[in-house]
Amino acid sequence: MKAIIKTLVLLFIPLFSFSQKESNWSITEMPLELAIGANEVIRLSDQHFEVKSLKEGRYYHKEVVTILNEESDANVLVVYYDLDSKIKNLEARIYDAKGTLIRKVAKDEIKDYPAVDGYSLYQDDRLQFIEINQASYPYTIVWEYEKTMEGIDFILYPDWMIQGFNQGIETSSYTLTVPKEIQPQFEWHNMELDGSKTDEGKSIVYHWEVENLKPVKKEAYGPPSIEILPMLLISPSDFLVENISGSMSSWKDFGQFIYSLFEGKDQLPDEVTAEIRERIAGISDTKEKVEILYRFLQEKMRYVSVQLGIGGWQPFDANYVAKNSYGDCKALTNYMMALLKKAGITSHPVLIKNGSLNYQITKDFTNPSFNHVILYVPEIDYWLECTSNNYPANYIGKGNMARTALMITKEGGVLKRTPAVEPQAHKENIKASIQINSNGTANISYQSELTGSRHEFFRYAASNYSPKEKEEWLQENSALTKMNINKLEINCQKDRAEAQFNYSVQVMKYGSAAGKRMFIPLNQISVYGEAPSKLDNRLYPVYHRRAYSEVLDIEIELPQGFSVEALPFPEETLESEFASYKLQIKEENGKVYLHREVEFRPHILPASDYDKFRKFYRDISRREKAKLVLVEKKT
Amino acid sequence: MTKLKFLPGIILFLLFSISLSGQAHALKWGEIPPEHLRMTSYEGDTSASAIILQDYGKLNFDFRDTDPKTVLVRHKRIKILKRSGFDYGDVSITYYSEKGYEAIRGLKATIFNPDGSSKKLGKKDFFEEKIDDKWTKIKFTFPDLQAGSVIEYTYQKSSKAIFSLPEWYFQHEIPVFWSEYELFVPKWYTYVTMKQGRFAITSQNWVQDNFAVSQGNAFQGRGMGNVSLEVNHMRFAASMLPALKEEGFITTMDDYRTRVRMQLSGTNFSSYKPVMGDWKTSAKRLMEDLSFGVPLTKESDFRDALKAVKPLVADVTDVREKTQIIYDFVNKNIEWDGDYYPYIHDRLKDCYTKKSAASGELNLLLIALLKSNGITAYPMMLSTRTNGKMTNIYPILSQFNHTMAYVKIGEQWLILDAGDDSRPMGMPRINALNSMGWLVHPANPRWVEIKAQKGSSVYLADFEIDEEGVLIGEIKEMHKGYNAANSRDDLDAGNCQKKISEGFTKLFPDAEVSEVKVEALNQRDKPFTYSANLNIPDLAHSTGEFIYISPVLIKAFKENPFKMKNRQYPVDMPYPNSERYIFKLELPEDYVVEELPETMRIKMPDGAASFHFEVKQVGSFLQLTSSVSFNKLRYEPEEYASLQNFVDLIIEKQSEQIVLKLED
Repeated sequence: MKAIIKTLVLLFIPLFSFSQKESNWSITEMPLELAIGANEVIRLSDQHFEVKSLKEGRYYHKEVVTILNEESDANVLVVYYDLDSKIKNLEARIYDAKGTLIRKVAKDEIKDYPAVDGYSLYQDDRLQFIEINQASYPYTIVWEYEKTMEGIDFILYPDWMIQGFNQGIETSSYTLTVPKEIQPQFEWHNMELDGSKTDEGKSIVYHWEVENLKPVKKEAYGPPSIEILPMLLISPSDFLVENISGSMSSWKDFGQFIYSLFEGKDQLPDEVTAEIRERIAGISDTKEKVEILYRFLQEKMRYVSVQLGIGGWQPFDANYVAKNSYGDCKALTNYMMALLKKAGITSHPVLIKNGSLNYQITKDFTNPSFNHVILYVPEIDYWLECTSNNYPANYIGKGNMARTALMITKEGGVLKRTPAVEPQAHKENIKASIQINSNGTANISYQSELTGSRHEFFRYAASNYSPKEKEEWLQENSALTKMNINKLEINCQKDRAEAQFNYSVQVMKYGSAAGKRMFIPLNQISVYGEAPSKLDNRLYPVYHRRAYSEVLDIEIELPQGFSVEALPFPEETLESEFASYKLQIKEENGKVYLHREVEFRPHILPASDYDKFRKFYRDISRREKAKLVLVEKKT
Repeated sequence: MTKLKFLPGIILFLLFSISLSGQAHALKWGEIPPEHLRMTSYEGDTSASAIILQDYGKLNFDFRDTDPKTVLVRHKRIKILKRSGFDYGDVSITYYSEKGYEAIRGLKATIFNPDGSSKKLGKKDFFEEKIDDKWTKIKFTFPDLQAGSVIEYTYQKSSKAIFSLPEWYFQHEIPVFWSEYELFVPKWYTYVTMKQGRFAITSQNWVQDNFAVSQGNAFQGRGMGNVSLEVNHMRFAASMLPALKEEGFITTMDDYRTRVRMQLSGTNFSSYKPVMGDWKTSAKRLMEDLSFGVPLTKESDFRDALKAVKPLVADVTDVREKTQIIYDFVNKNIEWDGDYYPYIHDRLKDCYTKKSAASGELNLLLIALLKSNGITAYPMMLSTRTNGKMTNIYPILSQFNHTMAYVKIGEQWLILDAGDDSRPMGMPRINALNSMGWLVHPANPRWVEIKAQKGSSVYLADFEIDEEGVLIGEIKEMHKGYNAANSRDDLDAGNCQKKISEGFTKLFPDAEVSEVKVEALNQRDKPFTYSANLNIPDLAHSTGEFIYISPVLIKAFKENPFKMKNRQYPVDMPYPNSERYIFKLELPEDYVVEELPETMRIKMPDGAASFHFEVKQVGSFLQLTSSVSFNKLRYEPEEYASLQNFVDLIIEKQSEQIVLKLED
């Protein structure tokens, strides 16, 4: 959906500013503390957004930015546009450190490209792009452009992304002019400015300004930008897009608008109606019916995305989808809804942000930051991911789970939470037996059972990989090296989010001999070897996002004539709020048994616990890499 | 005649009774043999998700407009075998649309399904997308796509590029059952043909009289309409080509793709006139070209840069020193914009004002500045590794994508390749190490070998160990040649110390790193040296009675980069490389050596690569030396297994442990 493109636009456009003082951009004029730890300093930024009517507006953006080093991305300006929104007067000037004008950027340096999202066959979004390269730092760029806006681009109202990571702000301001019949909605994050509100007769003018913001450091495992960077999100109340009126005054209203885009698009061709009637004939159980129809969708359909104008939000009708056997998330969801309707089952499209989640939706502020649509069947509490060709019914993938989404009903939008991610529902059970020969060669047989998010890749591979590609995947992704694969199989449960992955391989040189000793890695079957790196002073909380569990059992049969000289870490239990790790190693009758249980839980730790967080993973990693020392028995 | 075995369940292709007798291709538009619809897997490669049943191209000339054009009619038919092959149901055709230089017409696409149904795409199913000012893309997808579908599409692509005819790729990422390229070239034009690849291309060539050629105002006086003319009918075909799979450690897959290219060598309007000429006339023409040779001596084109350089070289008389100053000047003041281009885009002076330039522009400006300062310098053109192999048989300039400077210093010639400041003079960028370059010398143009300098690294590790198994000591690294340039690139100025420290922490996560020292970071002619003190708690394991130590702290390979069992194409390394690791360990008191890894000395045939590993005790010290060297750059698929094995042996040996025992 367009919203994702919007979000990207706003994150990537360097922030702009309007200023009367076309003054001195020498770096000596810049407060030094803004540059410490920064890649760039926004010297001045001004944005004006003038809402002209329900359907159109004008946006003006100016920014003066001093680029301090090559890590900075602010040497690139990207402005998106489409058939409804046009860019005007895009200009850039470059100044040296002393503030002397080096040159004006020429017209032919402005590149114009289609904005390719990587999954759409076709979309009408385009972008203009300027990249400035100067061999010596620092230097200053002045960007300036205007946009006339209509359509989806307009009704999402440009937000004020006040500060980026590792960016100092000297001054920044935003001016919003809105006709009185529209009541804009605001949501502040990590800052709240008073600003001014002026009555200009037909319109209200809002104005905010901020000065001297020190850089905010970006840290690994840190909070998402929305939780630490200052920003002001803005939404309209009423709007008009391609002659369809809508409102974002509330989620209910916005849902109503989306409902109107889906309405009347559920006509199916007669042969499809006939076929589904036949498939569900004699079945009374709703779950069973839904599963049959979901299979029917999966057999027939293919995901193809075409986004044109309001088509970013409005689905192709069900008839079109039936005819072509393809559609995007909206179209396939709408088609599935039409199939269910024919079977007398009510369902609702649900707008959602798929993938990693930065912004969390709140009930009082309508900010449609969605990029995807799924389907919900209330009668049986089922969720359906209609773009998947192989998920079981009621499994929507980790990318859709544990988030608030907008369900579209006839009565309007309703916020609804998708199922939570419980570590125990995303599980892997592995059993491996390793038989080691006296030359160091090992025969390994591996069996694992996976559920939930852990099984998703295997389901994908089972239907998309050739036998050769599966083998190549194992060779590239296993810690085992130099192996001959004797057997490899992936099986998926059709109706449950479960898979089995089994293989048996021969690994040359699994054990390395040194004189009368042999060193054997305890675990190359499933290794947690990575640990976060050392940090001197952690500023922000640690976001631990992993959520799954694993049980591993390895049985190692020692080579003839060898006995254990040293057994590392016989028993360990590591416990913390975000993870548990339990390891047992024992030797019995010429065999070594390893039993390990891990569980990772989503959790937020205070910054002061970073060392604790790191140490936990280090402790795991050390145990995981341990070696078993064997020595030849004295005869 | 293509022979195929019949296997139950797998379809037999009888349609391609290819006699190459000059008949039109066997597959007619819209006629899908039922066995193609029934087919469920491809015998030649059962893992294939889709195969190209036919890829047919027919090229004619069209003289109706002012500029002569070629018109290529393309007809492609693909069988989708599995859902994973659905990507081939999304088609995009890219063409150079600026000023109508190329155009697409007559696009038709149809899908046929095993149930006998078929669907034709309509006009609104084709999307046209303007990529930028020059390029346009037409995109479409097939409706009702299923495993088993046969899709086909055809279009005409006209092009004013008659110097090089459309290149024909016989091989693709999926298997190709039949690929054929037919050309009807009027006798007015003579082309040279270059074939490449591991798979046979059958070719035929015969002269056909009275062939109708569309013509018009381009040859006024002869009137409009068709005219009969003698044409040269060429035909290239190949069948049952396997899928081309990407492999690592390679120049570019295009170097191995089976393909045919054609380049205009002469015209025959009234009498034969060479167009291609020879290398010498090409060099002469280039030197007279406004976007290549002319600006090199036209000081008004680079006055600003020259003015900025003048004071820097004012008192310098030594040629080498002067050259160095100018080379540094270009590197410091103008950034490479990331594009490869062998000519000057616009004007030489724009490079200096924009402070950024394409690869060839940088070096052409460098040459201009050198020449104005009395230094002998010539352009050297080449194709980079990622752009593909070069031919020196025909003077084809379009094969080049980069230009470097060939500079005379005393009696010595050096290659200068500006673009980043980590490489000294005489060291081209790694991508330019494509064995040779063509020297654009007005009197004596010639091919010059580009010999890759070696990269070498030495690691000195001097440690002691306590009874807990903690290693305490120093690592010192010395990098030369390309290894120095790469390290300098990675660790560049400002944060260098910090980056080195982070690098060691990454290698030894629990180590304490201190006293990072760096030498010769900016003296690119000198080896790049740095060192740090380390306290590593977890590389040795002590049980009290025994201490087990992994002595190779810096391993040649973290893992074997050659993971695949077999390889179709050669392994190609850009430059020879060697590294030596020397570890000195002071034994802890009361401990004696219980076990040491044995000495190993291996060589690949002809000394292509070698490895030597040795540990010995010298008094209260252990001394370990491990040297790896790759001397040969290219390893054929037949040598792959031994190369893979060679690396395995190194990895294995370098992971062996030392065992110390508490003295009784």
